[in-house]
Amino acid sequence: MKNNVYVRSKRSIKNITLLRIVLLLPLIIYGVYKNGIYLYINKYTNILGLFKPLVFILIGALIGAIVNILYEYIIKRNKDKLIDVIFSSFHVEYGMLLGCIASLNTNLIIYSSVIFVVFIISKFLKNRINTICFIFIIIYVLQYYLFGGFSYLNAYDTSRVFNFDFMDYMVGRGEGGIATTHIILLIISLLGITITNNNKTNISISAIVTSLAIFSIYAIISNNNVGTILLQNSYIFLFTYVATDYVTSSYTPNGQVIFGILVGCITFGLYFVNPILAPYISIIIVSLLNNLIDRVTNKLNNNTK
Amino acid sequence: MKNIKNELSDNKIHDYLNPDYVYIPILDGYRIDVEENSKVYKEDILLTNKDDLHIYSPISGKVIGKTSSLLLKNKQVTCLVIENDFKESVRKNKGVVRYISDYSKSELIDLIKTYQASKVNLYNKATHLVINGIDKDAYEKTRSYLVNEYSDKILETVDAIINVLDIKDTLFAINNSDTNNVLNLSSHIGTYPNIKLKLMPDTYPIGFKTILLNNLYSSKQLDEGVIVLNVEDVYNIYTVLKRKKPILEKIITISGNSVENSMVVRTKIGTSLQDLITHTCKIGNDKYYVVVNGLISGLTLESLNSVITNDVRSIFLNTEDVQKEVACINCGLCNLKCPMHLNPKYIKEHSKADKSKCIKCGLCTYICPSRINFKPYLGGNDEE
Repeated sequence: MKNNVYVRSKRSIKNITLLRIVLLLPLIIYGVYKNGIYLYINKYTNILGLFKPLVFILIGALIGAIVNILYEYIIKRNKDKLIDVIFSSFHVEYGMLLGCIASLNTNLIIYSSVIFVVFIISKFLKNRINTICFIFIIIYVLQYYLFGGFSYLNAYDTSRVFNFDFMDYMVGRGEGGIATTHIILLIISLLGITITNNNKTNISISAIVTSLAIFSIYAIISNNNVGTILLQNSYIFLFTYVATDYVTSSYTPNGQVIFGILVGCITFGLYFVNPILAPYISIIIVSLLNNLIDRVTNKLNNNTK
Repeated sequence: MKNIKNELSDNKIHDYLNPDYVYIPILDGYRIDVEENSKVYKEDILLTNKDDLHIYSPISGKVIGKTSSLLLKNKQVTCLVIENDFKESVRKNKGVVRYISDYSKSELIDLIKTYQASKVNLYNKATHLVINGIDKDAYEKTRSYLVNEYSDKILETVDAIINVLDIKDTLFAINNSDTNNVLNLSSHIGTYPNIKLKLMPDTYPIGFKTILLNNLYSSKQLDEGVIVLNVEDVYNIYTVLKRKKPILEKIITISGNSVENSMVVRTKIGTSLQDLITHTCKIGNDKYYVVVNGLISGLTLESLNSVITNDVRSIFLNTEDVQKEVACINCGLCNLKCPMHLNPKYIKEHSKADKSKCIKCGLCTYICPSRINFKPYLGGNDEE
């Protein structure tokens, strides 16, 4: 009783999730346009294809909600309101993010089944590994080996040969997941989640800056375009929304910077093995180290005080 | 922070100055100077300790005896009980001093010590003086109301202190959202060129001494010596200097979501909480907890079976927040928002971690989206 709590801030997992989803909407709308409406108008797809990008995102969110409902009502016997149960963890956001980073060519059954199974398992484990990256890697591998390959290109992209400049990438014409390509909207979204204090922006910034620096040096040496490397394959989106996953990333300010730097460095190393999977594997590796990073930064902080 | 359903009902300080009984806690080291069944006058000495510090009678009446039925900070305490005769009679009327700035430094310090107007040490050779007019807890209004009602007296006293102690730089800090007081002080402060008004952002816990000082001064200036007096101290000093009377009354905020009519009340030191609440408030919900000195940082009492002492700033009757605690989501907000730059999550997980700098503001518990209650894990010191 001595330590009762009487007042709380309105910030909750539900509020954080909803705000992050709202700030994701412009990217989703552009993704639906690029991978649905535009293809339909130019007759690259049929009426079902028009809705396909939205289906990926909605299925992801729906599975996240169903898993939360099943777990809270059946396993934990929770009696809270449905809306509170749906947003009792970040799984709805995870589902939406998976929809955003998915390729339009992914098999929907594989996509849905993997998300459902891994989400269920993740509920029973202490979340030490980045669920989004883990699911994406499984889907990628299954898609690659069972369905003849993995590609971020939609029907329009595959029918043409492009020579993109910097601004093309900025307005979302580059390769990437369904709703991850528009860099300008992504930067606005990053600003939004940063201003409202709903993101570990230290991670985003340090990962982006580190990878930009390393890839720029590499681009100069190899006579490549840094935009082609860094602004494609959803790198910036992953550094903004996925690497910063609350549960599996460092929480101390210095730890977040170290986390981001490591993500950037390992991504560069793995780029030469598999450019698509590089950031996912890198985020998983660093997420496994997040406790260690926080412990070390805490000790350093305490020693310097 | 708006889930207190009732804003304070009006802008004035209400009075509850006639309790049937007052209960004076007999603290360790104090001896009783009055006999049972004897008559006491208001301002008579009731208790004295070995340093010759006295505790005075807040009312006139009859000494009934001792009781051990009351609690002070949840610990049983023996109290001297005085029955009120409602006459407010005093042995000797001391009159009123005309100019409070005429005191010498030693006279000022002696008077403050004798009548315990403030616990702040005025001996040091400070060059800076800060008057804290910002309420310590987000839901308290005591200091704000005090400034509103007694701004002229407070400014006069601060000016006297500046002259007597030869202070070079004085800041009067108030909350920038406290519109009434901003206007009120802005119009009066011109008469006192030595006092600068400092508007502070409306952020919790800016009313805490440590946080306020860190926002006002660099570490070099802090090393030069800073005296911090809150407006209650200044008002008490005014009473002592002007009337040479001990501090017998206390101004406190009564609020909480179980109170229908939140208010700021002036009452006698030694009034029982039960009497005060019964005579001043309408209670809308019986399932409340009693919290003193702030909903975020305050102490929960076991019951209303306690007394008003000099340390009480506010009483809240509030229901508990029953939101369920979930596993930490690693958001780092506790660490990011801690005004003392501590890491509450780390402290919670490592019992040996250094928590001595904690000022018990409760911000980590307030802000946590996982509803984790850090209070049991954080020790620290109550700064005032």
